[in-house]
Amino acid sequence: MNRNVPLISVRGVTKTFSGGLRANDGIDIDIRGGEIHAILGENGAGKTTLMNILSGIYHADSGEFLLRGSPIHIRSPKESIGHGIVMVHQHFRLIPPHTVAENIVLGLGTSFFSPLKGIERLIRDFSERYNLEVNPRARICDLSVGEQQRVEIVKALIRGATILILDEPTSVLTPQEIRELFDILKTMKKEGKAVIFITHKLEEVLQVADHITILRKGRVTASIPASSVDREKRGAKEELAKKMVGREVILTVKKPPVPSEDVVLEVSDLRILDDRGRQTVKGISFDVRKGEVFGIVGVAGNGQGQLVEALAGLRPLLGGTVNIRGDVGYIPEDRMGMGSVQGLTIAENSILTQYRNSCFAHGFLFDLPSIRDYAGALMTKFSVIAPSMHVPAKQLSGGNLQRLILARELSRNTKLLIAEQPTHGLDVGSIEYVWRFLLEQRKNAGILLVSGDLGEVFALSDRIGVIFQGKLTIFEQPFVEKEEEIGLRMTGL
Amino acid sequence: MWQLWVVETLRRALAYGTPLLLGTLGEIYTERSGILNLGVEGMMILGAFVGFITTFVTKNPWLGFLFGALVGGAASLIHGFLSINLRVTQVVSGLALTLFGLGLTGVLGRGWEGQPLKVSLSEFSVPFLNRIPILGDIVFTEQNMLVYIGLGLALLLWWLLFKTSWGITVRSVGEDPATADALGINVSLVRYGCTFIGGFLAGLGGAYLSIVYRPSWTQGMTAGMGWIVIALTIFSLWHPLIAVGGAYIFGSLFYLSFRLQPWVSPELLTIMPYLFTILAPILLNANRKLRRRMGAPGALGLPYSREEE
Repeated sequence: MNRNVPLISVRGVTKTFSGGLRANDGIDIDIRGGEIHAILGENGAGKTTLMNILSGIYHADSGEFLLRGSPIHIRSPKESIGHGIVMVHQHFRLIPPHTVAENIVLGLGTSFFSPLKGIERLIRDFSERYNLEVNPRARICDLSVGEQQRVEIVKALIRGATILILDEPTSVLTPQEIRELFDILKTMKKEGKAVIFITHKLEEVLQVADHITILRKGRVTASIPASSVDREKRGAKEELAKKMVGREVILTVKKPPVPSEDVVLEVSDLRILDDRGRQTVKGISFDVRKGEVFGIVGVAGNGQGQLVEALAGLRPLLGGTVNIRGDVGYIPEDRMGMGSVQGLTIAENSILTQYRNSCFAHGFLFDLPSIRDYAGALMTKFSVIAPSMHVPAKQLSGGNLQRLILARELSRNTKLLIAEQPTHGLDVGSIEYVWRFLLEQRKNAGILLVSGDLGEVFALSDRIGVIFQGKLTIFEQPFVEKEEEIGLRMTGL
Repeated sequence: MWQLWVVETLRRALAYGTPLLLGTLGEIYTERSGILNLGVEGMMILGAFVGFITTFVTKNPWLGFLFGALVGGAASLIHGFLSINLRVTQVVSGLALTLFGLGLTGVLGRGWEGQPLKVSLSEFSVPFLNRIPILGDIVFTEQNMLVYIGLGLALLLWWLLFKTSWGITVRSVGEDPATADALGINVSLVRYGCTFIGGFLAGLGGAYLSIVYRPSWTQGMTAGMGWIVIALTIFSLWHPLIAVGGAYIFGSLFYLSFRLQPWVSPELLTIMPYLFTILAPILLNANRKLRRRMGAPGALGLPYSREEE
């Protein structure tokens, strides 16, 4: 095989979602056989979208793929597998009550009568060749996350993968398991396979990758051989991080300080487990005062999700204390699932968190005229655009829905407001809108902003906490000098 | 004396439990593929009616079984279309099928009520095997062919479900259709197939009722057996071999409700199987180990559609 022809080339791939979000914007990447190719980028940089296009789950609006120099079409996961492209998703595609062998054999077209006969030997062969210890007879639900990942890799290899895509493969692994994974990847590399390694962890990329492509806001900002990065040289990593996080133009928002000493939220030595029973919040302490925005920034999966759930009372604490003075307003990240009831009308959604209030209900009867007045006033004040307040919330666009939730939570005048990714996926107009109202709310409340968007956190926060692997580092103003340090802190440097 | 009683009860339990076994085996397959079909009662009564008429007209019980089963299978495809293609709520669609079956046979069957069936299945003893002490007296003495067909089907379906690649496919589709779909499996086709198996066997069980069990046609003669089948599916933990035991326990209860009539009030006896339907899950739940194993297929009752972003 000619070493100079890339195994797979991505040419000008563009993908715009129905909400208008351009996740991929003219992406060109060459991936060669025998190479571990890291694709680096923040959340929302378009990494996963690109890989979903490559594995046939999404369809690109434009652009093409060349397999060993000749164009191919990828219209479904099946076609993609047919070209040897197999993706290991961040959330494994395994059936928990079934055995390893049953999971691997599914859809493989083996013998009807004894489907598992040859497969166990095959699994053992692959296990030995790649040093992937897997017991074919174990049930998936009895395996650790690391073992499940190995099953996914064996599943991909048995399907004849020549291009293996791993989406954030290390995010769920222990350091020991990460080392084992890297050894496996290196063996695959030696056999001439291409490994695409999607991540936001710089350190790991420098350890294992041969080539690094950095995506930012749907575009390639750098594509360089890893050997050109001198790991020892001070500033080399920082250079990469800067390309990844980007020097955000801090949108100037007028932010006069609202001084106050009232503490509305006090968190001390908080520890929380996630759904898998791993401790993802490892002793966090901070407080939020009235009149300030306390911004927690971090790459997804570093414990901020569990932190917010615990503060909102949705997740039990493992240890530590949470002291909330007064009511809590909560703007959840998942605005369709948790922020609103999609089937209820706009008017009903607008009183969802205070429907028992005597303003809106007498006993068990609603006071419909006052609900109508209230909802009407909210819609005008927060510019919620809809045909009528009696249409179901599911008819609202993302920006309008977020305005409705914002209207509902801000108008309650709670002492503490938790805003989780409040502008995620919104257009610029809506973002400014949300920002303006959040800052205005500081007059009455303390605001805990949790976001993955560094620019947003800089623009709004009076103090910033960077969360990385369950620990929080707090930065005080002025931020101008600390911008870069905060950005690097998010990637663990 | 009491030994004879026990042996006789167990022997008759096989015959009485066979329609339940057939229905349960079918529902296990339907639910294993992720489709919840509460229309078993309706499919059984359609099978009973068509089976009776076919046998009455052709004088051939085997044709009766065949057509009863086919009608059950055809009826199940209505449920399949509603829940697989139109993705309606499966509980509603299944209940509708039950009401449809009971209503339709009630109207069409008026003229046929009270007419006895002249032909039925003969009972026979298996030579040599019936000489085995106790087991021979229970299993191989004076049984009809359908009892053995039911037992054979249980073995066959167990083997298909757990030992073949098709079985892995069926179970995977019921647990996680998205994963199966991503690996190139036609989820709809598998679900249609399993829904049809469910209807076919429910129809066969129904035909057994009107041809063997009580060779005549009475409106509503399934008398809630379809619901016992639904309960049995859960008790057997969606496992064809456990279903055999469950069906025969209920079979013995049905037999005893006749046999004990000289001593116990018939009203009390008639409710026995239904009472047990309520008691069994309570007993099962009390046992910790069993409760842990009592997992329904992961995607049971959930419509599947491939999401496009």
